[in-house]
Amino acid sequence: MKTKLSIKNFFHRFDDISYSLIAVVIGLIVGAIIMALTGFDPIEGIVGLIKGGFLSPYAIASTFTRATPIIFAGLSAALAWGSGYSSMGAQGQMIMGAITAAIVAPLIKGPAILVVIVTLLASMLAGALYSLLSAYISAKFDAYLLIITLMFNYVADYFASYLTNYVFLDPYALDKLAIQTQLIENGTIPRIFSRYTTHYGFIIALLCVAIVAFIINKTSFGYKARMSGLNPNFAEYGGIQSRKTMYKVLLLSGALAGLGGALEVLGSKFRYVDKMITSPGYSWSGITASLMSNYSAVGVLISSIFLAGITVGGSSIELLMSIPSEITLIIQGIITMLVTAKFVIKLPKFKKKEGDKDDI
Amino acid sequence: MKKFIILLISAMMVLSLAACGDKTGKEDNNDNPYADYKVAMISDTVGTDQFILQAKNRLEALAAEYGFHHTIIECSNTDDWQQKSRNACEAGYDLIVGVGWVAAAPLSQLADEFPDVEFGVIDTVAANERIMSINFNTTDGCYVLGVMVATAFPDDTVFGYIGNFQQQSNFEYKYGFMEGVKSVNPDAKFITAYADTYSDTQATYNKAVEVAAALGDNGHFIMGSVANSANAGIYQYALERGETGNKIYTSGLSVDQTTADNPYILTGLTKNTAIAMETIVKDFLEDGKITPGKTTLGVNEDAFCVVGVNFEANYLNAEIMTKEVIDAGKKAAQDLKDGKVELPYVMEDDYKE
Amino acid sequence: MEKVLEMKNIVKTYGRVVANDDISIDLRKGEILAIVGENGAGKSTLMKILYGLEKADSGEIFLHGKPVKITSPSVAMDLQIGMVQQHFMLFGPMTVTENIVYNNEISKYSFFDKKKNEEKVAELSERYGLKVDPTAIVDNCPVGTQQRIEILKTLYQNADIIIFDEPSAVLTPNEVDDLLDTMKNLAAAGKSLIIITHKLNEVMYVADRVVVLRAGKLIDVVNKKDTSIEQLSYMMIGRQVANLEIVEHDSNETLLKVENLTLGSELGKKVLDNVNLYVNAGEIVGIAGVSGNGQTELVRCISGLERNYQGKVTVNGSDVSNFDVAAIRKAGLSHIPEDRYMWGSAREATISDNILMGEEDSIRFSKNGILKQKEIDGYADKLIGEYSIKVDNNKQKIKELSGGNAQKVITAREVERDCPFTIACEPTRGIDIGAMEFVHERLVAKRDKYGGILLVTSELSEIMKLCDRIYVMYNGSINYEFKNEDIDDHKLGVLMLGGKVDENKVVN
Repeated sequence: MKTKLSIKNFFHRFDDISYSLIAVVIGLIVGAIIMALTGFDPIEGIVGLIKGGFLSPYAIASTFTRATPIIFAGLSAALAWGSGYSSMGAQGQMIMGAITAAIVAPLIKGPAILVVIVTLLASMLAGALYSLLSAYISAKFDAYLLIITLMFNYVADYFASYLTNYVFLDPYALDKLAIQTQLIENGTIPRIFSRYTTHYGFIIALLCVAIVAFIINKTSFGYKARMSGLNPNFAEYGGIQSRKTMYKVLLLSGALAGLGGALEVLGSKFRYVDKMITSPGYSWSGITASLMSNYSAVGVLISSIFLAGITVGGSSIELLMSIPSEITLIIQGIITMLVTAKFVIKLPKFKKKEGDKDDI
Repeated sequence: MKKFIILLISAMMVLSLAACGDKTGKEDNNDNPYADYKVAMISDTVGTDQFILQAKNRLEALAAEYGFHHTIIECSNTDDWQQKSRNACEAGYDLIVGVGWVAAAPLSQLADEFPDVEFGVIDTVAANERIMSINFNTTDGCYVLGVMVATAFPDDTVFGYIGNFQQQSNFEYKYGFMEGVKSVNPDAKFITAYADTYSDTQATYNKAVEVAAALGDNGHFIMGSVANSANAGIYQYALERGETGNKIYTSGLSVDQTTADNPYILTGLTKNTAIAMETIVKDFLEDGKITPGKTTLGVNEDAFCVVGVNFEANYLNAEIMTKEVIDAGKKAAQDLKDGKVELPYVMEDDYKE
Repeated sequence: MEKVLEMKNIVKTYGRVVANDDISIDLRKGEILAIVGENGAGKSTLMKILYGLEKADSGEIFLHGKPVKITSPSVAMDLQIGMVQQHFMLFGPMTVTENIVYNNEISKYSFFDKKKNEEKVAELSERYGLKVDPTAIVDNCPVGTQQRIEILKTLYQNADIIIFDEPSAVLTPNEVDDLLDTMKNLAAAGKSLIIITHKLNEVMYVADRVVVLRAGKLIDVVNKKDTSIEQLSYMMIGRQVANLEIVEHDSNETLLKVENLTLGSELGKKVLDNVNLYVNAGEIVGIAGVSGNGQTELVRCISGLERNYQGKVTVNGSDVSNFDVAAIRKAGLSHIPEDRYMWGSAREATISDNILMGEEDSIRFSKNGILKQKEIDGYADKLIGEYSIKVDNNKQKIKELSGGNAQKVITAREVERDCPFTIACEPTRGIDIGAMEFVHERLVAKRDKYGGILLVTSELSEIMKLCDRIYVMYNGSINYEFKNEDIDDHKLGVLMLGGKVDENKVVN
């Protein structure tokens, strides 16, 4: 079996990745054009964006911090979408994970490491159960999972708002008017280097990337999930029980999102602040990352770091060059639009296959 | 996948090469001793929010006057706050002023990590004592309000109050208001309620209904200090109730809420962030250091204002806010300034109505 | 009679397969021309060329004596050629009128003029006797009505020549009668019609002339009144004799037994009606029939994809009635599905992944839930070698393979599975002769190793060549069983179309 390398083959093999790269380049070009139109130097702006996002220890550390929750949302989405279940629920599950962490951590007395472990497990359970609930409702009432999970995001957000507002509010906090839970004193996740914000949650994220990659590619469960995603008819024909696979996949996907939410609380904010998961749009970035990488776990890691990097870079150019950081929202929006459009508009086929006709 | 990574890395390398050699030296200084100072203000999105705009405009004016470098950083979420304030520290800003309660948490964290950077926050008290926290003496302003209300409704025996939670920061409002009313009408009684929210307008509205019912014919005024937005529940109820004939009046919070559309909002309390900004910046410019700790500004500094007294009103309900009422307010403010009236700081538990 | 259309010397090849080999036909005004042939004979290709969906390698088309170039369906429509596709192209949630006038609507002040459009549709419907309610929502219309909407669409676009592609495949018998009458009305009104079909009784009812194609070649053009079903089916199938050496087996071991299998559809119609059949070890049993007579459903029931049936299914000695797919596979069934891309493979997955399907939990290929990738790849390479599948390596995706090679991957997976009984559905559909011969050899080899095979195919030649016994399926039930020696292709053709066999006499 020798490997033939030709341009056609290359594009066939890499069309998804090359597509995402093209999307990124177009996104940056549009960003540059808008900078030019609004009176900024586009070259300086883009270079500043990349520099501020990736090219200094501080920049890359900030990027890793920001990427951590995105990686979890991305893995969660990649697992679900890659298995053919279009769950948009990462956001709601992250919220459930985050609020659970903020409530559970202060309740546990004991060494910090124990608090962290118990809290993370509780949050994973919360995310997983929440995901299962949406899966169950979708199966029970034969409703689109996409819609159910989307609506569940709102339910989670308002539920967490309610809890923070009425049950676990910290009214004696010095920062008056903050809708937030009590500060977690014992059981926070430490930074890797005290100088930089990146905390050990990022290491956990890397581990999860490896674990998810292993599950998807090397286990029979992952095989079933993958085949269900690529062709559900084929999976059914081959005896894969779709219902069972769906529940397992969504359970795992919810647990990952819940873990991501918990780490954001324990490693970065140290409390649940109302809308802390929704307003930075972690889950949307995560879904974009999973689409960009065609549901590969390692791809999610790279795409998440990229998306986090342009956001961090964006806040840097805002400070240094007064370019509004919203520019990165535009860039990310363009990328999301292009990778989403991939589902609708396929890349032009290079050549029709011989004998690929069923009825002649 | 390997190819993709290689591509990404090579792209990064090219860009980093391009990025080299654009380091520029600092401008040669001129005679201005302030020219090297860099001041950043960080806040939620500015937009048309008076609370933030005042601070921003004052900072810009001061920068023009003294010739220091300044920038305004806007944040749209908590993650932005963390990231952007940190960026400002890394970028070598000398003073970072956070406007609003959101600022306390991220700046407290940074103050430990960046000992060379000075920090100020406005309208909150940061946990970190390295920070200069400007908060407002609300009691004095509420005293002035109380005097005006008692003068405007001489026949009323009961007055209403709605706060967010039963807590000291709220009590500071209620305490001033009660003292002001009692200075005119020593026998006045008060009905207090808590909305138990910062954000739920409907809950506040419901409390307004309850308090108004309790006031009956004996009172016509409810003071609210729930929160900028949720207070609207009281305004709404006052407007609706006004049409029934048995009118209820109230006062605004945070920014001037008086408007011809709702004549039942008689006056209000506002925070002047411009004065707060000026206090921090001027303190910093003296020697490049701020005065750490809590600084309280109030009616005396025109930093906490009563609409119609030391803050021009959009609209005054002339029927009730007569010259007599306004003058009573002005006199109360003057008395506080002159030290003729003093309101000692009291904890809620130690206070007897 | 006036010739409205001529196609001259049309040649079309797909790779090595010659779909149309120098075919010339003509169509006269007001006639119904039937084009008949087996699957793969080249009927659809010829019509796709006429309708601009495919481009001929060579050949010319003349319309009213003038040469035309038909490069796309819109060009065809401009030339007043319409086509009623087998799969309807309708907007389900819209009304009948909206569907018919789409793209050519009458408007008033550039707004859609509902009343005028509906009047126009009602008038068309009246004129050609095609009963529809112009205001009905398409999704609520039965299939027969939807087809009438398709026909009205072509009429609305002023089509003079209308092509019907397998129009009766989706219809109930009553709807078929309506359709055929409609076609006669249209012809009487001066339209020229072409019908592609392999149902010969329909041909005998409506057609004026019949074009017979076989393996891409034009066999003959005959007048309906000069021919018979027997003659046509003979021409369609040709005299092809099984040329494989068949070893006789004597066996009583039954690998598949289906008893009183009945399956209802949503509409209350019985899709399968009391089916009984069996397959012994060492035999290939064919199910012959025109597609759409219940074969697909039968296979779905046996393999566990459809579980809401009455009756009993026994596979390899164990009762698997209403079991799920995994359990039935475990009992000893493998299954080459009828559509290789829809059911048989995942196009985006690698060959290794595709070969693993169904075995991902076996001890051979996984341990504690972790896949033994080396073992899997080794097995994939072995099958690639044995079946001479033309690929670069086992990590290539199915979508990068030709149809024949993809079919080989599926056949290899299912035939080489360690189980005695295989259902093979259309195992050679659309693949070239070489691959077809190879698949046949493997099926026979499995049989010779004492396996049992149920062969479901619409290729009569395949059935004639391979099968030891043949069941004929018509309208959801088995209406005849041929035993080894008395297989007769004439009788078979008649039976497939619903005819009856009385001892030695064929009754139509």
